[in-house]
Amino acid sequence: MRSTLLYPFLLIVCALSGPALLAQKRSILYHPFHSNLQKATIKEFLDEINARSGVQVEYASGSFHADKIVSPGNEVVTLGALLQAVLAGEKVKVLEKNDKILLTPAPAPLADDALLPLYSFFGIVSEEGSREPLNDATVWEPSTHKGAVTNTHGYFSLLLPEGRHLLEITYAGYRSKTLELDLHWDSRSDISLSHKEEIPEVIVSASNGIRKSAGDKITPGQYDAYNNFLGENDALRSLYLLPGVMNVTDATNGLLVRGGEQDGNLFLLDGNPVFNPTHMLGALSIVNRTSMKSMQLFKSDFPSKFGGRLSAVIDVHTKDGNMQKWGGEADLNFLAGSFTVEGPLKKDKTAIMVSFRHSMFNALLNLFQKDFSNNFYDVHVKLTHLLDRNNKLMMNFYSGVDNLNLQVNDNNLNNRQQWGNRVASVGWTHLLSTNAFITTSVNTSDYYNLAGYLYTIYDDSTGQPVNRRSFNTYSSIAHYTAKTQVEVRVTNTVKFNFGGEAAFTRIKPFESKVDSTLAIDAGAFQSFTPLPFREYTLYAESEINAGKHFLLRPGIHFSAYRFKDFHYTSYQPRLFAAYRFNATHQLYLSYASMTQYLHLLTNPSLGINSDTWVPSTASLIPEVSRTVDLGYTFKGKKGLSFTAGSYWKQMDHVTNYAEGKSFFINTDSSWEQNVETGKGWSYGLELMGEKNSEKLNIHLAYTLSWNWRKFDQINQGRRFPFKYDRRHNFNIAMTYKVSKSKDISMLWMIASGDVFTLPERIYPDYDNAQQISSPDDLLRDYRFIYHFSGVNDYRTLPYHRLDLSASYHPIRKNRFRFKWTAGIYNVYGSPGQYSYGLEGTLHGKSIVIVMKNKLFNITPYISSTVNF
Amino acid sequence: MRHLLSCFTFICFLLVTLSCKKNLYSDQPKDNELVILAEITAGDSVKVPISKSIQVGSGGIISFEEVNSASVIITRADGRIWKLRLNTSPDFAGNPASVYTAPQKPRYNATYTLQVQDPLSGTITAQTTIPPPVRLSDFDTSGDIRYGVPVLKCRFTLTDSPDISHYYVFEAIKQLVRLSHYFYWQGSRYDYDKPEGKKLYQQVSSSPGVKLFCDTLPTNIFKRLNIFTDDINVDNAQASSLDSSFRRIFLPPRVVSGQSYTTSFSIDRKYFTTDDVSSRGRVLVLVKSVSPELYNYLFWYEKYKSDIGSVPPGQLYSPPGNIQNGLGIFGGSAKYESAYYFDRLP
Repeated sequence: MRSTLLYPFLLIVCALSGPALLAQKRSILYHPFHSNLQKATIKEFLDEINARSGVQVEYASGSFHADKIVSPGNEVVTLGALLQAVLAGEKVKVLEKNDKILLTPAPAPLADDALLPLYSFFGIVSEEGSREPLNDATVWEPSTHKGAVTNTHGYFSLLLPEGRHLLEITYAGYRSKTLELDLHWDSRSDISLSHKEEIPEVIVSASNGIRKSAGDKITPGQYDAYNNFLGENDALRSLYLLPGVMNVTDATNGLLVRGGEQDGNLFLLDGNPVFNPTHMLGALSIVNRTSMKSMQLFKSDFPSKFGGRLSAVIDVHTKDGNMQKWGGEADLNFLAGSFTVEGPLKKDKTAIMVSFRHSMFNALLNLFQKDFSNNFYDVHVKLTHLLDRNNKLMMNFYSGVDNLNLQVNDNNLNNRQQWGNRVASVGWTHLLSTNAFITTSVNTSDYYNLAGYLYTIYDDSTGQPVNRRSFNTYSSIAHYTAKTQVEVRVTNTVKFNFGGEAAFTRIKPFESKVDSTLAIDAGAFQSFTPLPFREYTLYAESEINAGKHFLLRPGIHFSAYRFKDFHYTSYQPRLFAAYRFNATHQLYLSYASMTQYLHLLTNPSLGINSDTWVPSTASLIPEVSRTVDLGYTFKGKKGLSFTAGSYWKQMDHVTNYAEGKSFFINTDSSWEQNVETGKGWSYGLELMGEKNSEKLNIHLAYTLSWNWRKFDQINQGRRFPFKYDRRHNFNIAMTYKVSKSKDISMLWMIASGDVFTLPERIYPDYDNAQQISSPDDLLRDYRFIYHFSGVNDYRTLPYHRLDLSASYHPIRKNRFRFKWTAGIYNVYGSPGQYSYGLEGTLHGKSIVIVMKNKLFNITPYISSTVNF
Repeated sequence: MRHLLSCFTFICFLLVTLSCKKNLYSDQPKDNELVILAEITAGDSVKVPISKSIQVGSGGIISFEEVNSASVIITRADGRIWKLRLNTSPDFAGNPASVYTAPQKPRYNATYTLQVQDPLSGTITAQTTIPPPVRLSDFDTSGDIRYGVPVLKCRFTLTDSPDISHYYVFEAIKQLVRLSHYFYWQGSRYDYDKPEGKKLYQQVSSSPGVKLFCDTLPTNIFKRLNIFTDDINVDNAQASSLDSSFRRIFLPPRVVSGQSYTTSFSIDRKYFTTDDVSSRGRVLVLVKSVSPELYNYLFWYEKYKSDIGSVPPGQLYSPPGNIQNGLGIFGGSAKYESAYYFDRLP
């Protein structure tokens, strides 16, 4: 079944790309030729070509006005340009055959650029001054409707006919530029755009052009008014404003996309995967606002270069570093202090960007959350070196660590956790030719998680505490990749991307130790043999613009996986299509098949952050998803935009701890038995509307979704709602601009509660009914059996939260620009998590206990930012 | 386009309205269901404990109701019907369920259907098949020390039939005994422990030949003895470390699978002997082959018992039963039983 669908798909990709690739062969119209005639008849010009150029032009007499006198001008330097000028207005068709040019009669006059040679106009679009490459900048010729969009490295390539052109280069938040061009050969021009000093806080980024992907792009500052967490702007929190993206507070990395789990998200920091991109148990991401350049979320339409996860790709890029002058930005708030400094080590040659962030004193934090103590830092260093105009080297290093203590009772340290990521890479970008660009990199990403909790052992007879023990777990993952990606602009309407990747991963999934104190040394966990696996990936993708209204992007992602003796290959077809009715209305459709070789297991009974990554094996086969997405976008003239999307997502081999096998035991051979695989599926409707005006910006998002799981050994094989099956999710964000320098903002989010399982009946203990008593049973009052009707049958109360903030950002008058923000997080102290329990013993009352937890209650904050 | 938008808005409205379903854990009353907790064993007279579930979380008192008016019938596959009656013997006085018994004894390889009708709680049915006999060879015992604890180690070889899947369960219990006093007078035996017998004995005790005898009788009261195993093939190893003690040990069919399989388990000797007269009894070592549904139920029951108290109720797993329209389990078993006397009995 898979191959019957796959091979036609591959055929389509090749068929669509192949002819276009062949079109690259240069025709005899490119032959250089300069006529000695200034003014003559068409016949005389054609005779001169036959006599001097070495190219024969054949035609039947009477097929055009051969005696017409024409004057082509002196700028003509190729045979094609001369023929174009000479035959202008004539009803002829020009054919090339056997190195001859045949002129045959045609019903319509010769098109204006039919015979003109096409040349590549290419280059890099960057920010003026810093030379920071600009991603998604548009290079556009309005008169011919030909254009190109820059890639992550600012590269563009456009095919234009010989002659004069007037190009517009635009990028949101930057001043547009017009470029006059007289093109007679392939030409490169690096273009710089200057930043608008004062831009609105919320930028409407959607353009009127045809939609090239269904991904959501977040630019720095776009949702700053709403993604503030205790004063710290977190771009990742902006994603929670989008429909289909959910925030779960009790999850370590609480970003869930379209029914997937946390492990379904691939987080890329400058192309490097980061396995836990959060601080403070997921409350804050590792993305430091001061260093971020762009972020893109893909949740249905996955470009073919991405793979390895089921649900989402979050592609974050940071600044390269200013090539001309030193500058930066610093933030200070209740939660953390951070700065980014960037500047040239060698002007216009080598730049460095250093970004550092550290949490603030816990004493400050404990004013609002006394049980919580967290220290974190992250440091990011990026070095960019321009070898020459065509070659760029980039070196990246990131390191971040969290140390967290959570105490439930006074003077009793219950949970302690340390986790961290270390990422490094070396990348090289190279302009292969006038229409091809290649990026190659070597990456490494390490993650570890050391968690433990203390428990007290009580004397059975006296009920007094006699001893304290700690349960500690350790897991780690090391990931190494080498990858290369090639972009080829075949024609103005066809782009072709392809590439490959080789990855090696070594996982230490889980190791536990029971001790008298909480473990602090990761080196003490050495008994579990690491699990290594390899993965090889190839991908190809074409982007085809069929006219002004239709865009098609078929692609294929192939991966091969090996863990010990287990081999697995996967062909993952991808498709994106957009139809633009007009500047206002568009429809899009996407299909993506994804395969995931890593499984993340989260154990609810082990407390905070008990994440365990495990590889696919013969019995724990890779997770697979297929997503279909149909969407509509509306873009009005007065800052009004609206998006509606519906999706269906099918997931196979998703994992769960096998029922009753709560956690791994430290035996290398049996860990797979503790994991069960099953099916999942989710579907829903996503709506988003934005209205931006001079004074007021409004953002609304609503998600209606269903999310199911089915495992043979759970819930008696019946389907049940996934634990984060939130039916409704609605948020509204508003910013009112009081003046040019002052604005106030609010964000209100409401979502259906999570599902949970709780028994609703009890009956007598089995052994008791056989008249068997256990003399060592200390829980005589619990001699009954709880009975559950089903898994996740109940739903908690809805979640909702209101945040308010006010900002003051005076207009820059010197080198420094300041911004102050004050606000209240969780204005009415709404719980972030509900947990339900039962209390009751034999001959006692049975009652339901509802615990309302919140990581942060009503928390006022202030923050200040200086940009220099 | 306008019509399309109106249609789309209407569909959205409809979807949102229809999906507004709340499943709050409310205090809506739930019907109490009949509960069966029965294991019928080849060669033993049938005994079916019946109870009722009660709703939790509603603020009510946790106390189980007696089921005294049920009609309980067991039907064998050949159509033979056994009617069970409520047993009010003091032996079952402490049982949280009402116990229905019949003198008939189930057979190996036979299928039995249980039907219970209760005027207050409806009708439930369940079916089970008694497995074939357990075949053992080389059963021997020895004293041992395990982690400093004195144990009795039982080592044996299971001889499995190739065409039958045996679900083995090993356990050890101490069956309490009671002292029985009796005497003979004029050729008849009288029970001294009954008031009328005691009165008669006082009248005739001086008569020649009248002598009070003492004997021990097994009761229906048992104490569970913790057991251990080092066999990594047992299912217990999936749910817990083998360092732990277990109530039962579970050996799945895939391990034995039609061949001879030697295994062992050890019994904690802590309760083998006692000075407390009321706790004296005999140790029964049981090697059972149980029906698959009973194996499944008992396995989850083992897990449940080890988790309750330390795992929140929402994260416990209920043992899965086989009762239609009710809760609990009706399972069949065949057993090999070996009895040991360690207490000093009169």
